[in-house]
Amino acid sequence: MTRRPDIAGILRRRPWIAVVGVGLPAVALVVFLIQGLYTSRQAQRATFVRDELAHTSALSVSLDHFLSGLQSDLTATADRREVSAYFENAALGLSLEYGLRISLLDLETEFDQRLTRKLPGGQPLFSRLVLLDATGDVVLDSRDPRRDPGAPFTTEWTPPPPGNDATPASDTDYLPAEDYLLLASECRVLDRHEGWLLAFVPTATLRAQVLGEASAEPNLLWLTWEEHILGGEDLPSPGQLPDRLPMPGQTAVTGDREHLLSCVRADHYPLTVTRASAIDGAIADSPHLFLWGLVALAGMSMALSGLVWMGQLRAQALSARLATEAGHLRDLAARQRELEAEIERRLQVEHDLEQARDDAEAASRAKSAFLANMSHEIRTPLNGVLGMTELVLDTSLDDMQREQLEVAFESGRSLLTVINDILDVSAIEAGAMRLNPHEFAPADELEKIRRSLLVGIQARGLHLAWDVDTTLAPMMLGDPARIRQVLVNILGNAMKFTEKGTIGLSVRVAASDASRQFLEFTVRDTGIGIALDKQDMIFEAFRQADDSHTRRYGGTGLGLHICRRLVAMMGGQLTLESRVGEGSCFRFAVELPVVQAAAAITAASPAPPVATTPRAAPRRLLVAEDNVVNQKLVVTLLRKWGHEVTLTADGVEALAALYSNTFDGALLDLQMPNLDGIEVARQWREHERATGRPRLPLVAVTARVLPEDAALCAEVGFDAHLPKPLNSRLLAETIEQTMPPAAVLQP
Amino acid sequence: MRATMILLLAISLIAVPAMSQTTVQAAPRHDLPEIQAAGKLRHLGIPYANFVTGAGDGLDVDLVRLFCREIGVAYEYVETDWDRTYSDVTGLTFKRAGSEVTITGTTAVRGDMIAHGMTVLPWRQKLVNFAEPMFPTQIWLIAPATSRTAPITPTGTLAGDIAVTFKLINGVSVLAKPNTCLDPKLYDLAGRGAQVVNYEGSLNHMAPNLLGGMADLTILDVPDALVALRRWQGKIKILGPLSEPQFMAAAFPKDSPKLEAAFAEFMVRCRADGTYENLVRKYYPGVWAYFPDFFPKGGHAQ
Repeated sequence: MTRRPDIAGILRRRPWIAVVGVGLPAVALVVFLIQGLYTSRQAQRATFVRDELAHTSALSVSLDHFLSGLQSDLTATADRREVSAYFENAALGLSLEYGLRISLLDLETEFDQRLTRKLPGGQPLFSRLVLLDATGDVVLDSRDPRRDPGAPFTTEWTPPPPGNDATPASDTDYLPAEDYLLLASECRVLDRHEGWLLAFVPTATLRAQVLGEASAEPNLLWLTWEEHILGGEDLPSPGQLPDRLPMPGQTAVTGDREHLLSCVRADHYPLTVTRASAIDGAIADSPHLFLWGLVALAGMSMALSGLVWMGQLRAQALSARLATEAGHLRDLAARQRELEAEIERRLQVEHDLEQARDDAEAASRAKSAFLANMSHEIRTPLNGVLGMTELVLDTSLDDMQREQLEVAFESGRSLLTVINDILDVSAIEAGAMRLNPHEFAPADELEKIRRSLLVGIQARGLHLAWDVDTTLAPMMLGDPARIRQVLVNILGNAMKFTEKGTIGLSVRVAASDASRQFLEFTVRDTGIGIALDKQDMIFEAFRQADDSHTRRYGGTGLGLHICRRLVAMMGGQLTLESRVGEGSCFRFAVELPVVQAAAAITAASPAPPVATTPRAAPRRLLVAEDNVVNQKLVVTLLRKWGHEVTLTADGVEALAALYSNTFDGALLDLQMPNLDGIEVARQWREHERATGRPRLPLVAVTARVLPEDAALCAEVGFDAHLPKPLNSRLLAETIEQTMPPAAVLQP
Repeated sequence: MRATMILLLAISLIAVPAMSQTTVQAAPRHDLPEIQAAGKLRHLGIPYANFVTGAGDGLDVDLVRLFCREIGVAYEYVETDWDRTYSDVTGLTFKRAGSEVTITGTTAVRGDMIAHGMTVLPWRQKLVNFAEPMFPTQIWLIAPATSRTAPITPTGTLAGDIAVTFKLINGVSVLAKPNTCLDPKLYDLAGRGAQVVNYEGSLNHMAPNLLGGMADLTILDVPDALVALRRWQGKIKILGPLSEPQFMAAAFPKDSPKLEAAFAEFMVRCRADGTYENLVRKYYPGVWAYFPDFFPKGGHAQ
């Protein structure tokens, strides 16, 4: 039988074994705990330092951005029109008493606006703005805006050398005596150095900007500019500060070991941010580390307490954020109320404006209606006279009959010219004449005029001198029809009164900028000339220089009167220089806005080529005309040219024919019983949109010839507007241009 | 025969719309009671500087609108021109020789009051009654920036400045506009050696026509010059003054005393409550710098 060892006896005999067996593991456990805790503390310290540096770095970046924003704002101010206006006017020699003070006042207003801008906490972004001229003297100082320019700038600041196009000069400096940061931006006008714009940024604003970001205690934050602590001696001391703040990018612990100092420098400025953060004993290098082993359980409790404490901190932060959001919501509600009040006020103003506009339009409509009716009632019978005469002229006649009818035809055309002139004069005198500005290509319009005059001028054995400025804008905004009317009238007079020599037109760009050109038109001839004492008279209505001219050359004497009034409506003045026997020179200048290239592409597209041969190709055409004479005239012309014509006598019949037949185009009178031409066009275009039918060319043939009539036609969808009395050549051209022929009718 | 037909046709077309004008025997009264009965006030205006911008607003337009609201009538803007404005408000046609005015007949009344930056001049006072001065002005001499003529160096007195400025017009062409405050005869431009170029277009286009080469120099009043100085920045320069300070005011027919009195009371209230000052600041922010006596800084306009 084996005897089992007596362990209790052994331990009693060798008690050190018990001590070693229990003590060594205990000692090892304590050493292990101490070492583990020490390592953990080192890691925690490194994390704490890194977090603090990151936090301080974020504040530094924020401050850097803030200063960059202020510098950009200052540069934008230096580029403002108010600044360039002062320097330009000063360079022109304007005195303060006569002109220059307005520039100073504009500058002062601009400065005032900049100085009112503040941080949410109320600190101004700029406390002072100063404009210096090239010699360094003060132009305007917001601290003393009433002082005349010319005083020396006394603040200790030296301007850097002026910049150039590639690197505009700018500078930043700190003025410790006044505790301001000074930002400077160079002022350049037309690439010339004119001076400096200076802005004073209080250091209190910088501190407020950082404190607002950090929510930190004011006495635990320092900003330094190079060697200077911003805020100076008034800054509260945090206690046991080290002799020197840490270098940028480093940390240090205060002498009482209660705070960690972290320092970071801004990227673009010699500005550093230093923060002091409470350590709360978390990372102190304690000499009694072994106590941790003894207070392990207490540590557990502390950890739990820490968790509870962190939860409380998070709850507090959440409450603060909720309070801030509530404030924002209140601000938004107040802003919404202000906007609603503003909208209500603007609606009232719009209502008042609409009322005033309606009243003015009613008066204008009454005047326009009279002129439109008068025009229509004269032109309609004249259309019959001229058209029928032209048709008869196209038949076989004996010489005497042809000569008599040609006299009648020319007399009718002269009467039409007279009526056009008189209607223009009537419209001008009644205040009903309106310009119809739209985009147009001036070079094209001038070329059309040249072509229309060329045959007549050559037939009379005259020479045409045509000089158009090559810097003329491609597209402009104006009333080309009225400009053409003026030029054709003056050039027509020149042809009429010139028997040999030259007739010339010169168009010159007298002044221009990016948005407008000032065009000078000059018409010269080598004709009979006008005596000095008659030169004012020819611009009066119904007057010519000499009654014998009326007998010899014809004319009513209205043309130049209308021209002068039209030019005046365009903002210019028609003037005359002339000598008897040597010729005349008419001149006027108008200012026209330039249409930018992108907007002009569509308008400047070349028009399709025009075929002018009446018998080019037959079409199926609808004609709507209520006047019997005009019906005969139009139908006879169209059938003579080989077109297939369907005739209707009013708008209802025309619309019915359009719905039930296929046409290549329609010629519509505007003033018809039951349904007028405008309404026919409007309803037909609506029908096309609803059914997807191809667009039918529509041409208005009407005695309503006022500019607003043509504009209305374009608005409702007409493709062309032909005035009565009908010009047969123009009618043929319009059909060729707007109405493609149908294949089935090709001969 | 042909000439007779043309004449008859011309007379028929022009005379019909004017018939109602030529048959008026005497201008009907259009004082405050008649205006309130009609329910609207017709404001005679001409687009000029920032008094009537032509875009539906302006210092005088805003002011007359407020006046209409106060007397309970609708506002109606009636555009006129510098030759016709007095006839439009009085119903009288007239001839003027210097400061003498002769009534020649009657015509239709188109408006109830004038307000478009009209300068108070003696011959105009014979036709209409002016309200209390509403706006100060002065005549300045203007040149293109490229002109060799340099601005004057102020002498310290207005009389001295005017004398120096007048020397600049000798022998050069000067743009002016008859029958307005820029009438060359008011300042004897021709008598002082200038070659006067009479301008017939809008006052607002005088500066661009100067730049277009119509004349060497032009005269402008201060409100228009302030507008032109901003619009044509760097292209024009002010040489100096040609007149003592003048004043602008609204004008009324001499037989509309109640309307005139109502407007005077309205203006007193506008000046007292700051309404007028706010309107002047809106349309002429720079005028304070030139007429500190008329518009004291921070105070109400006189």
